[in-house]
Amino acid sequence: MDRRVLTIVLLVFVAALVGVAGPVFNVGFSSGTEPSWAAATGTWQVADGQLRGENGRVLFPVQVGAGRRVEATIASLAGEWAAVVAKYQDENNWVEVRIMNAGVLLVTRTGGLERTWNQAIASTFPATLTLAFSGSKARVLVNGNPVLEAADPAWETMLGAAGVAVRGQAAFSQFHASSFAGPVLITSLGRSPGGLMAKVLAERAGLVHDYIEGAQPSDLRSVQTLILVLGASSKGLGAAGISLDDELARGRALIAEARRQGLAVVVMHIEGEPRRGALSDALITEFTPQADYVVVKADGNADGLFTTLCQAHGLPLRTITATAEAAEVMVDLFSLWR
Amino acid sequence: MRQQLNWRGAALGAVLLLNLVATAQGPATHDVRPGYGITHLAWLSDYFPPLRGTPGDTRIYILDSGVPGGTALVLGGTHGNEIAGVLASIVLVERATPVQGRLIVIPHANNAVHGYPDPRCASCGPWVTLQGPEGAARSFRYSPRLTNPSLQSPDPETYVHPSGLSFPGEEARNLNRVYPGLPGGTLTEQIAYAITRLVIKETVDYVFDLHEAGPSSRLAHTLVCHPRALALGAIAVIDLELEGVRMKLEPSREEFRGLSHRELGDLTSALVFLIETPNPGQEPGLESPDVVADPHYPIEQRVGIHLELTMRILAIGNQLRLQPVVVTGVPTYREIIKTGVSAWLNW
Repeated sequence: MDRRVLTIVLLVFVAALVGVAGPVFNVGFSSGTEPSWAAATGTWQVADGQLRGENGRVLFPVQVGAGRRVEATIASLAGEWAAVVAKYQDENNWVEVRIMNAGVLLVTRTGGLERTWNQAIASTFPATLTLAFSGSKARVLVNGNPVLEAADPAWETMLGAAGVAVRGQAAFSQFHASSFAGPVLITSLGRSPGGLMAKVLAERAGLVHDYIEGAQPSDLRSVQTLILVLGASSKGLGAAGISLDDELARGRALIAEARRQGLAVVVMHIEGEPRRGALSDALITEFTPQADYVVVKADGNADGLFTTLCQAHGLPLRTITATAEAAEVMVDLFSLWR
Repeated sequence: MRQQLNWRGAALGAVLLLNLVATAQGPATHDVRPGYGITHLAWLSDYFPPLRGTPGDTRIYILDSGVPGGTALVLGGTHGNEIAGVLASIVLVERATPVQGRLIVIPHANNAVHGYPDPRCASCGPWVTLQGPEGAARSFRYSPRLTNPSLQSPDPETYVHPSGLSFPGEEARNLNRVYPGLPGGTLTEQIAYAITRLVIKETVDYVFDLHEAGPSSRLAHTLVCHPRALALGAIAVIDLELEGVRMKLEPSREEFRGLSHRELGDLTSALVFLIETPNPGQEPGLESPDVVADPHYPIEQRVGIHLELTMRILAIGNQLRLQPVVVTGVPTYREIIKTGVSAWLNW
């Protein structure tokens, strides 16, 4: 073992010890400063809001075991492939999904033995590549669409670091690892019917949840994740006898309590363009940056407001084109596909 | 007190006089050609006899499967210029077949809107024509939104709903502001009262009130649901989007007093929905809009939305084990977009 590899192994070992055990780990690159990574091979630098790498791998201080998902947005690729790495223990034990111009390749190495699965797809960039685990199964998604499933008994107990890799040159704009869990509390901020729609979709996804339109911090007992569905109308607020300021205060209190308890927070805007406007935008601007994961219906982000907020705060942004697709997002985020 | 009594006496006299005038005119007739699904014909006046023989009376088409189940009521023509709801109702009358439960259709819920020019669109009426096979054509009334003022006038300065909510005076002639209606009220209030009586007497489980709005109105492409019906509406809107139709979902709020979805929903156990499609004839400032063949909002698209949402909500209700209403023979949104409305009428 040469000195360089040894250094990496040691760094990964350190990363394993200090690895983030919370439900969510997000890294964005918009600040222009290098993120705190645990180990790297090849050449990596942060510039113009992107992590740019060449012929190497970078690992972040986050651990991936069973039930975790890892996601990276690849802004551009000039070379053979870009990859999401998970369960990295050493050079002989890791899992990696690579995206190429013509498809995806899932590669695992356990005890030095390598297995592969591949699926042809026409890739365009930017693309969000997700590798999700559930016990001995893994699922690969590209831009939220499942493209490949595989199983390996070794994955059930395999624990290791996560990161990204590239052969050639690639730029990454976001990295995210999470293990969202239920039960979930769904509430509407702005009192639009979007919260009820999210409840319907949670039922469809099989996600254990409570829906309380005007939920208070005390309702966050016995839940693991808070889903805030943003969308306001003056009529809705008026009918509920509350003001925008009341709703902003309720949202702040909910997030504060969620953070105090270490709960994950998902923000959704699933009613599209009709649910934008001054009132909704006040909620979006305040609460989107405080999310761990953001889901938006495309026409609700036509002006790029969600994109701007998520880039500025290093948050993953999942775009859906129809409200019904939010159920698939829940299936993915909460590992309900197994 | 005497003044109040005199006023009441004068008001009662005016109502009786208007009823006499109305009786002299009788209800407007329409080109509706019932299909095999129709099992009974009725009049709205069967539910409130004072309407008999007045322009406020209107035909009711009943499709009774004979199989126990729920009852759905479809109201077209609450407003005379919202033609897609009228045509959707007529398609149901001419093509639907009941399999379980009952479907009750009133294509011209306010039949007292005819016979005067539409102040909002001079070029839009009084008829619209659909072409059929072999050169055949059928004409349907395109009338103003409100009850004919010759049947109910003068408008009060302000119309005050019994709930205390105030509207501009002309809204006293708007069927969808006067629910649940009054038996001793204006002609429009009597029509509303008769519909409310029907909903109660027939133990209606679902009410669909089919409307249109100007394309730039915030109401266009909206499904309004009574709060008890909101979850059902949410499922329908979510699913319909997958067919390429985007509808906004709005709950019926407290300030919607006098509207069908609020009053009928509060007063009865029915799940009440109001569907709004975009009608260029209702867009302010448009010159000579084509209310049938507009390139952006053609009639088949609007009728398709009304029918698809209505049938979809009934199907979801069936899945949720609510009172079942099963109807066949109704075109889907895609079918009606492909073939046009005429293909689903009887010729």
